[in-house]
Amino acid sequence: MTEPDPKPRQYHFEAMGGPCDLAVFGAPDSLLQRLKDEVVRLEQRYSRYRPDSLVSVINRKAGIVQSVDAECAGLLNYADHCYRLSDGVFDVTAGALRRAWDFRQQRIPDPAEITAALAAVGWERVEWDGEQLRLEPGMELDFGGIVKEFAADRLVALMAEAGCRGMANLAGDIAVTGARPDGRPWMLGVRDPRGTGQAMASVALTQGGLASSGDYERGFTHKGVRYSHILNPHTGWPVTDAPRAVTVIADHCIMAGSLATIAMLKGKDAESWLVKLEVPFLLCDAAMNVSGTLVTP
Amino acid sequence: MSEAVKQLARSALAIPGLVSMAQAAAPAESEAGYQYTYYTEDDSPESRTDGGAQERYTIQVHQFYLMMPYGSNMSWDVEGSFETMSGASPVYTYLDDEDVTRVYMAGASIERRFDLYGTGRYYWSQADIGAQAGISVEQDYLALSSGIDGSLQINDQMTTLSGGATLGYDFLDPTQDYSDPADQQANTPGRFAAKDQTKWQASIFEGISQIIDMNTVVQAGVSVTHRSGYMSDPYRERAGAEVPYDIRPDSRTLVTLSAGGRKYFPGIDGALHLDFRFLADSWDIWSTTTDLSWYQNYAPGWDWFVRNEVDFQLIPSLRYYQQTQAYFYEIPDHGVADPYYTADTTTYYSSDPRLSNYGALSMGLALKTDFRNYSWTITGERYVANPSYGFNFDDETPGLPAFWRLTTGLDFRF
Repeated sequence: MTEPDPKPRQYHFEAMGGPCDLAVFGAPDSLLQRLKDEVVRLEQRYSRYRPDSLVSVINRKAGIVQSVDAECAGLLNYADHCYRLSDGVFDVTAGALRRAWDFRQQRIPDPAEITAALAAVGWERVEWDGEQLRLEPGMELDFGGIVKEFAADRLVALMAEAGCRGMANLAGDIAVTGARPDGRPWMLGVRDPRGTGQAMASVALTQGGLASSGDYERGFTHKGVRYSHILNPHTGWPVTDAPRAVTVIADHCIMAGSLATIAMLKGKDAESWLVKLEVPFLLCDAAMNVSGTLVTP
Repeated sequence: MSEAVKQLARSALAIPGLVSMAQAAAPAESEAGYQYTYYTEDDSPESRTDGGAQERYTIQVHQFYLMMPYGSNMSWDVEGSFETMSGASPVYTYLDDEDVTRVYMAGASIERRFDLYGTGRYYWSQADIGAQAGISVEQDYLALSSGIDGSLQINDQMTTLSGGATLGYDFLDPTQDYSDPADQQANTPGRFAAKDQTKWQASIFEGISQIIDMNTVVQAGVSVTHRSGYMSDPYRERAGAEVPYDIRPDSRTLVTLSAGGRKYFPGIDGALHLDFRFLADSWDIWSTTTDLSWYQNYAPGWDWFVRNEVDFQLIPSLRYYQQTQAYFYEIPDHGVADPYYTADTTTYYSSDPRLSNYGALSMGLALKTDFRNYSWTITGERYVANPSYGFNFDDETPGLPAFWRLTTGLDFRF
C-alpha cells in the first residue's frame, strides 16, 4: 500500500456545453482519459444538438413505437418519477417551448407561438411502459435537466471502480466519491446568480452530489418585468416569483439537479417545498436574500 | 430526508451505472422482524378413523429475526423461533376387513420446538459469501445444521451465479419409558429401534439467474441431497397392531431441477412469478411443484400526516404439487393373513400418506403494507391434499392433511 497522494490530479476539458473539472487522487492517465471518454459518450448519446445522438434519433421517430436500451430506460423512468414528484412541472418534453422563447433575443413571443409550442409538450401524453416509447408526432425529448448531473455521478462511479477518490465538477453539477482521503470534506463554492464570478456561499460535501438551478444571466427584464428562463410546461410562460437560484445536496448529483430544478419551477413555493422534502439546500430569492439549511452563520 | 426523496433515490439507483459496481453490496440498514404463524389441520373424518383422537395438528410459531451490517463489507443475522404443536397425527393406515381404508390416529400430544440460526456474510462488489449454523431442539430430537453459500454477478451484473452446500446431523431419542428392554422390543419396536439413532444429510445446490431485460428475469437451479441414517418414523407403530412398524431404507438421494421466471408489467405495476420444480429420489418418488403468483403494487399517495407514503402489495398465489409413491409404500390389508407385525421386520414398509401417490393444491393471498420504516405482512393459505389430485383414482389415503395457515409479521428497518 502506498500513501495516498497529498494532492489530487486536476483535469480540465470542455464538454456538454461547459467546463469539466475533475480532481482525482492517485489517478493514472488512463483513468482520466476514461473519464473524459464517458462524458463524451453521454454527450453523443443524449445531446439534442447532435443530429446523430440517440435523443435526436428518438425525436425523429416521434409517432413510432421505439424500444430503448437499459440506460435510456433508466433515465426515462427517473424523469417519469420527477414528473410525478413535481406535479407535472418537471417535464422532459418541455424543451419544445424553446421554439417560442429565445432568451438570447430577449423577445416576448406571441401567445399564438406559445400555444403552438405547448401542443408538443406533455409527458402524460407520451406512451412509456418501461421498455417501449412512443412520442406523439412533433414532440421531443430533452434530457438537458438530467444528463449532465448523471454524467457527474457516472464519473465518480468510475473513479470508485478504479479505487480512486475524487470529485467531478461539470459546470457546477458536482459529485464526489466520498470525503477526501484525509477525511476532510470537499469545500465547494456556490456561484453567485448575479454572474459576478464570485462564490455566494461555501459548502462542504462529503458524499453524493450538489447541483444548482438558477436564473443566472439567462433571464431578461422587459418593461420592468423579469422573464426567467425557467418555463412552466403547463402555461408555456416563465415561472413567476421563481428564486434566482437554488442549490441542493442529495445522495446523487442527478437527484440534486432535478430537485433544484423542480424547486425553481415551484416558484414562490420553492422554499416550503424543499423544507418539506428535508434536503439540504440554499436558496437565493429575487431580492438576493440567501436562505436555506446550508447557510452558514 | 423525506420518504419522497428516498423513493426518488430508488429511481435514481435503478439507472444502470449510476453507482460504482465496485462498491461492496453490503446492506446499509439493519432490519428486525417478528412473525407469527397459526397452522391448523382439518379434523380427521370420524368415519375413517380407528380409535384415538381425531383432532389433528395445530401449530403456532413465533419467529424473531435481526440482521445488522458489520462494517461496510459484512452483515450478520440471527433468527430464532419457538413452536408449539398440539393434536394427533396418523400412526398407520390399513384396509379393514370390509376393504375400507382407515387411519389410526395417535393420542393428542403437545410438543415444543426451539430453533436458532445464525449467519455471517461478506460482500464484495459483485459477489458475496455466507456461512450459517443452526440448532433445532425438541424433547425427542436434536438437529444441528451448517452451510455455506455464495453468489457471483457476471456479464455486467446481468447474470447471477449462486451455489452452496449444507450439512446436517440429527439425533433421535424417541420418548419412551425404557423399563424392560425385552418388553420394549415387543410392544414398541419402532421406538426401541430408533433409540439413540442418528442421521446425516449433505446437500449441494447451484443456481443461475439471468436478467433478460429490465422487466424480465429467468432462473434455473439444480440440487443434490443425500441422506443417510435412521429415517423411519418411530411413532408410526402401535403395540398389538396387526401391521408392521414403519421401516424405511437407511439412505435416500434426491435430485431437484427447477426453472422459473419473473415478468414485471409497468403499465399495471404488477409482476407475474412462475416457478416449476421437478424432484426425483432413490425411493422412486418423483414429484413436480408449480407455483404461480401475481404481485400487484398499489401506491395510493394518501396524505394523512406530513410524511405518510403508504404502499401496498397484494399477492394471490396458487401452487400445485403431485408425487408418485415410494416403492415401499403400502396400505396393509387386514383381510389378508400375513405379513403382519414381526419384531425383526427386514422388509421396508411404510403407510405414511406423505409417501403415497397424491397431489395437493394450495391457494394463498398475502397483503404487504409498507409505511415509512415498517413493513406489515399478512398471509392466508389453504392447502388440500388428495390422491385424485395426483391422478391416483385407485387408492384412498385418509391420512393426508388439509390445513389453513395464517401468517402475520412486522419488519422494521433502522
